[in-house]
Amino acid sequence: MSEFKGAHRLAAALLRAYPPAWRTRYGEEFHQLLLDELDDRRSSLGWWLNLVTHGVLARLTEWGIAGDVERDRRITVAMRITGLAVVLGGACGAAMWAQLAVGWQWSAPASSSTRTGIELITAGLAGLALSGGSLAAGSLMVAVRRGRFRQRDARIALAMFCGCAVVLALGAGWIGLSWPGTGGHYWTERGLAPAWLGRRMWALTLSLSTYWAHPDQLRALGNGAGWLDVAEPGADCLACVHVAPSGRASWLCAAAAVDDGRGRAAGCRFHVPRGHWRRGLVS
Amino acid sequence: MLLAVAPGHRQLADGQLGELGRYAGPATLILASLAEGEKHGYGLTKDIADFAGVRLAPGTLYEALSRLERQGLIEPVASEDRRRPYRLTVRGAEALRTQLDEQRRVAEIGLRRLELGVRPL
Repeated sequence: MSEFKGAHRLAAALLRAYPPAWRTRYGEEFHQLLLDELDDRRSSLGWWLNLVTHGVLARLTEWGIAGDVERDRRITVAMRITGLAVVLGGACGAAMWAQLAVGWQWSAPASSSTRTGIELITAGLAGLALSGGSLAAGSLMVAVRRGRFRQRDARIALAMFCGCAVVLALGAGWIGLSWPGTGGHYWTERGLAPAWLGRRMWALTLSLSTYWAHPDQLRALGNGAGWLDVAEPGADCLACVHVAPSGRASWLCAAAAVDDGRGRAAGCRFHVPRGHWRRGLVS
Repeated sequence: MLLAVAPGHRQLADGQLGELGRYAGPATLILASLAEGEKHGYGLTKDIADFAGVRLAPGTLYEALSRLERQGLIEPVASEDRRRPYRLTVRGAEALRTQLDEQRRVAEIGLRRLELGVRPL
């Protein structure tokens, strides 16, 4: 039995791949099955892989990403993942765009690679903004048309107020800041890209850009720019305050739309013959 | 008739084991094993290996068991042992019968066609 002690310990450790709720229900008996099979010398590489794979699948099922999950919940989870991807992708893309546009990087600002990079990132950001905006606007419109807006108008109003306040504060605050870049993309040099947007994004990513910035350029800002150290995290906090309720309100509206769809479908659900096309031989 | 299922999970009509997707195969084997009487996980694995020649890996076995339990086709039996036995429910027996009838129908069609002289290339 001692020769299996290591395997027993490994099996117990791998049980942690399964979600807590699953372990509460099946953990003890499942662990006993693993011990029985190990004592029976039934383990193999495939056996161990199966153990881990199903643990991961159980977790994905719990999160609604995979497995035997209702369509509405799959839509809900897909929307959450999409929203998260849009936010993360947008944030990273905006930071890179700002660095390239303002020109605070070691590489030559006007090089062809910089131009190509900023064009690609701009196109990607535009696509992200379009998809994210369409999703939010569509869900809001659906919610308003179905009369669900009133139930959540306080939170939505708060989100809108915060958003407007942040935009106004940033616009007013950064409009007077002189162009800090060393050149950047020709779009920004020729005024084809909105300068306030470039400055704002540059400021938002100042923590990042400081790392790469040339010391001479930092000194060129002068002592008067010290307030940026306070304003930049402050603006970021305001932006976060805005994003959280906005996202929550948009999400609630989208969820209300899904709920409405589910309510309408409930009347006919029990008459729909489901899965006949899949019925058949053992897979 | 539809079965009671846990919130957030799909509903399954009686006899539609195909709705279990890729777990329909293991589910049929488990139900067939439990048709003989209640068994725990290791007992199921050994019995299925004996009568079907298939060794179900633990993850696959318990994924199928949890789905079957959620759909009300099997139920756990109280036990003081760590090895918890399961037994077939009435609905599970009906679902197994439907599934096996369907498999027999397909098998008979296939065998009949073979007897008609259609030979593989």
